[in-house]
Amino acid sequence: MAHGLLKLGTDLNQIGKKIARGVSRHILHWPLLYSLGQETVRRGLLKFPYESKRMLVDYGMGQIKEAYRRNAVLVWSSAFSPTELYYALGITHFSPEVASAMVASFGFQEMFLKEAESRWWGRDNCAFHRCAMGGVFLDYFPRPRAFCASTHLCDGAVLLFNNLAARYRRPFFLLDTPLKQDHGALNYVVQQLKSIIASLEELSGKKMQAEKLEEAVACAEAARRELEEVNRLRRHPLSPFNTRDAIAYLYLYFNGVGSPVTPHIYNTLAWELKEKINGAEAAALKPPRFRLLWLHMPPIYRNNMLAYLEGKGARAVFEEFSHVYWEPMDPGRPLHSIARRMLSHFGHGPVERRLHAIKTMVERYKVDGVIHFSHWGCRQNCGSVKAIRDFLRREGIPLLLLDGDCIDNRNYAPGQVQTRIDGFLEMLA
Amino acid sequence: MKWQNIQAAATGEQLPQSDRQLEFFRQMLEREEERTRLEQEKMAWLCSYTPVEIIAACNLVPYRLLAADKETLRADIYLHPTLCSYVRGALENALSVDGTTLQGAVLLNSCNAASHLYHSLSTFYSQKFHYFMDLPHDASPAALDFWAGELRQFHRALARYRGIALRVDTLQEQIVLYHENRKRMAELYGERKGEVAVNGNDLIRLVQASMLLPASRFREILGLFANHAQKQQEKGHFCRGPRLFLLGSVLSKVTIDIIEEQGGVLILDDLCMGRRAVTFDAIPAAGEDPYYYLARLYLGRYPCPRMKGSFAALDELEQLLRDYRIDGVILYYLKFCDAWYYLGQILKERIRHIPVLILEGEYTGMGGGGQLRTRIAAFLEMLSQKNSMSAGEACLAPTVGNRDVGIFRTLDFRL
Amino acid sequence: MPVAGIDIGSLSTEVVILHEGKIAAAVILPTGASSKTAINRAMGQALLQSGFSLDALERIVATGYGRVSVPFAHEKVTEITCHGRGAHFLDPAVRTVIDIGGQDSKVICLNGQGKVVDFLMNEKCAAGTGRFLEVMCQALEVDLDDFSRLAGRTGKTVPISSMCTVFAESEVVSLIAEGYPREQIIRGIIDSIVERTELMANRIGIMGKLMMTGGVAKNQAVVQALQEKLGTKIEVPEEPQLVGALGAALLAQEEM
Repeated sequence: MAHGLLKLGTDLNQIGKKIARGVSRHILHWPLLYSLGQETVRRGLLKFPYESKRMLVDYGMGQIKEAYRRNAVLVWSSAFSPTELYYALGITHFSPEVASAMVASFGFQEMFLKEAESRWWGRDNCAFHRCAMGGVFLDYFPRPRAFCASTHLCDGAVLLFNNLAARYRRPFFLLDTPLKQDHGALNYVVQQLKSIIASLEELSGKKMQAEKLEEAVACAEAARRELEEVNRLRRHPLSPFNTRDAIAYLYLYFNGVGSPVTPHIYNTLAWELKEKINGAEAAALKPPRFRLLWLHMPPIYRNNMLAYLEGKGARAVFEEFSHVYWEPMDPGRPLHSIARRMLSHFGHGPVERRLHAIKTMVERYKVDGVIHFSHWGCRQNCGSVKAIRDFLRREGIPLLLLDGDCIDNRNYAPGQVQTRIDGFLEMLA
Repeated sequence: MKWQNIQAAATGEQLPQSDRQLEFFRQMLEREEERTRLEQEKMAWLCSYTPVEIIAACNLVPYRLLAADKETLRADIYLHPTLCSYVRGALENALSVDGTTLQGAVLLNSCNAASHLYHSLSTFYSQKFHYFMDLPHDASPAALDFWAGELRQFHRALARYRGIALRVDTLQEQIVLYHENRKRMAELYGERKGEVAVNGNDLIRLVQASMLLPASRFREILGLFANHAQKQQEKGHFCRGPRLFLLGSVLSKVTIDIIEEQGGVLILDDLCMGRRAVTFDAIPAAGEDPYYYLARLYLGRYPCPRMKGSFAALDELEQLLRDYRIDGVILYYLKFCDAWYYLGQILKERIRHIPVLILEGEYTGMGGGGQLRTRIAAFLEMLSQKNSMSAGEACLAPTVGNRDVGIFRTLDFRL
Repeated sequence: MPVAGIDIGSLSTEVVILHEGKIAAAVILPTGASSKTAINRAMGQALLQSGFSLDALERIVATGYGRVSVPFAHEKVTEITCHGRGAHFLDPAVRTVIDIGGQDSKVICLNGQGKVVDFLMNEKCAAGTGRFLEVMCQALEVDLDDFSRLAGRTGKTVPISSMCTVFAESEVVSLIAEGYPREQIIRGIIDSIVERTELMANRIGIMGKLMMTGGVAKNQAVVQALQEKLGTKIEVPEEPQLVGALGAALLAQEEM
């Protein structure tokens, strides 16, 4: 009897879950949802700490709405792929890695991760990818017409896109990015950009206009300049903008390079930061006791790592992904400029490049210490830990290594992290 | 030792003639490898896309850096625990005494782990010559041009290091030599649709030897082995047991031998130290630049999962399983080998009509042979039970879980 | 003719002697440091119970991790096949067996004749196995019997995040230090075992009637939690630890 009831109860539970999933899936695929969201944001019904953040959310919602639109020419693109091309061609793009981050920021990651794991995704690969696969299996994401990924930084991205392209039986355009930066490599990347453009033209049935590409590159360049200005303000002793604030804005780096909106948002942000430093409320700001540099991403699920640091008077004043590493782009030589941007990522290629960039950031943002967050499934990031430790020790800069996962909260033990942070801060004092 | 041999030993029988011959070959390979290890001037390489012809053309023996069959105590200092055990084992090997007999190492941008290994080697390893090459992920015309350029630069750098003139005719000689060796090994792999006289682990053993010995010496041994294989075939001395297909990352021969020891017959494999390393071929066009030819040769072969084309090759795989009448598939990937994590997942979904055993572990097996033996033995028990099963066995509908991704959901037992 | 099955696991060794289709003897002993001693003692006791001599046993099948070290075994079969066979004998309607033993856990799918059609084993690490429970009990200073009882007393859970036995132990120790009640920690431990088992069950897909075997099946709290998680009833035989040895004995009988 008890078992019968138990069975009935769990059955109902399962059925309920199924219905809930079906409904939520349906609603998610509904562009009107995002229009409503945009309206809410625009009418100021939601509170944002910055006007630029409101613009950012509005922009993001608009992109998601586009992606779910029926008949959209949608390309799934990997985190570091050349987004300038999509803007020049008027193609909608969707990044599964960024989508994972959004899922985790809303706290739904466990359901996604479990779904992928029950379909033979191991727990030792990147949770950004695993969570995205969960979304694919649950059919929560907009369905793509093609895939586009670049090979730099992350082995997993190419493999994920390969898997997805085979699953959806859709074409996969690959931008192979060599580790070298010589003439041969540059030429190779330019050739590939040309062939990707040709494939995307065929896919969308639209011809790429030269001036559109120039425009996109000009926007990318404007965004680069504005971001540099934001970063310049972040050097200020009061540290008006920390890593906790900055995470959301990384959306623009991953998805918005080449869009006319991006420089606008960065510009607004810079203006707001200037106000903050020089305005009336500046007196209320307190400079942090310790300025820290955060390497790789902080965890995105609900956690108190950065808040805990703040509570102890330490602040992550800058994070690796906001670093502007690429040279000014020339709209007169668009493909060349994009190729240069792809090839010059400091996390790509020999680890010396990353060390050099870390040193630049340490000096530029006058940090007292560095925190390296080792995202469990990221070989690129974890693999350079030894080199970074040796390097920073030589340079006399304290380093804290935190092992964890950006998306998978199931291995997050707050007590353990806090003990490590406490020890590190005692060391800095 | 083979399963049959254990039984033979237990019952006091003499080893069959064929097994004595195989034992002889195995010992010969061990001896030859030991001699190369001690006596020859060698250049280490790691990834099977490395152009060994160029190394040989610079009067060095191309020598695959295998992982040490021991704990990686020193390597663990330099490499993060979430990099695979092959890369850590290879570093351990290079840092041990073995490393001092090498002239240096050539590494490729095969995966993140290999790039990190290159950094560790070039920082902590005392040998003189280190070289890193950018291997494309694709075989497009642009990729071929790029890779050909990389090959040319590598040849130039190595010739300079060796203090010898860069000669295209020497390179062409080596290309021919390696081509012939590969072709003969591919022939051994070719005729395996029917009953086989040579178990696959011996073929893999042979391929491994080809990666460690000078090509000219290997050619002689290969000739002897091919003769033996042919005689066995003619006499009808065939291997008995479930027909298996092994796929996966780089594995040590100890691990692979466990499959044979438990009574399985390896018909085919998809390993970069097995069939994938020998079954490729390209005909040089008249007057073709040798570097471009090499680029075409390597990028045109059956792809490693890290390449873009690997997932497209899945359909080909399904055909292979049918053609070679495979009873079971063993998928063994190294822990933290991303390439196989992502491909293996879809493989497991695609192969529906044949049982698949997924194993995940270290280069030298899964923490001692015991756990690996149990899993393989149970799999083989399951396969032999299947053969004796009565027809028309009904399968129940699932109540929990993802029935559509398993293997036996749609199985027709009358196979 | 009498036959025997012997199952040498990492934590316990079991012997079952069958005679004319009936169980003539059944012995469970801890394996301890030497599997040889355990094998001899367990077999000795079983022979005493049944009244047969070793020579009288027509056929002996060994299974479990120590199966290779049984000198008198006629055949060695893996515990996957044996657990499947044993579970089928106890209830022919069973189609899925979850076996959580000392150092590993597995899910086995059976057909109508008790033959294995698919199986899945845990990864290398001992998390979520009998050994895991034992270590956790030591850390909490409770014995296994109290474990179930204590778990029943609370609905609250402290999540145990570490996947690995070694790390989970240190985490449990620090949770004790932080002053969490033992009952909640125990629930956390049980949840982590159940979660791992659920993942395996989902990967392989559970069909038909479900039986749980192995030492952990004696832990009612784990069985109960797993039942709730999988949403299906789990049958537990009277002596779940003996199923492997029983299966081995049945295979010995069939071979004759």
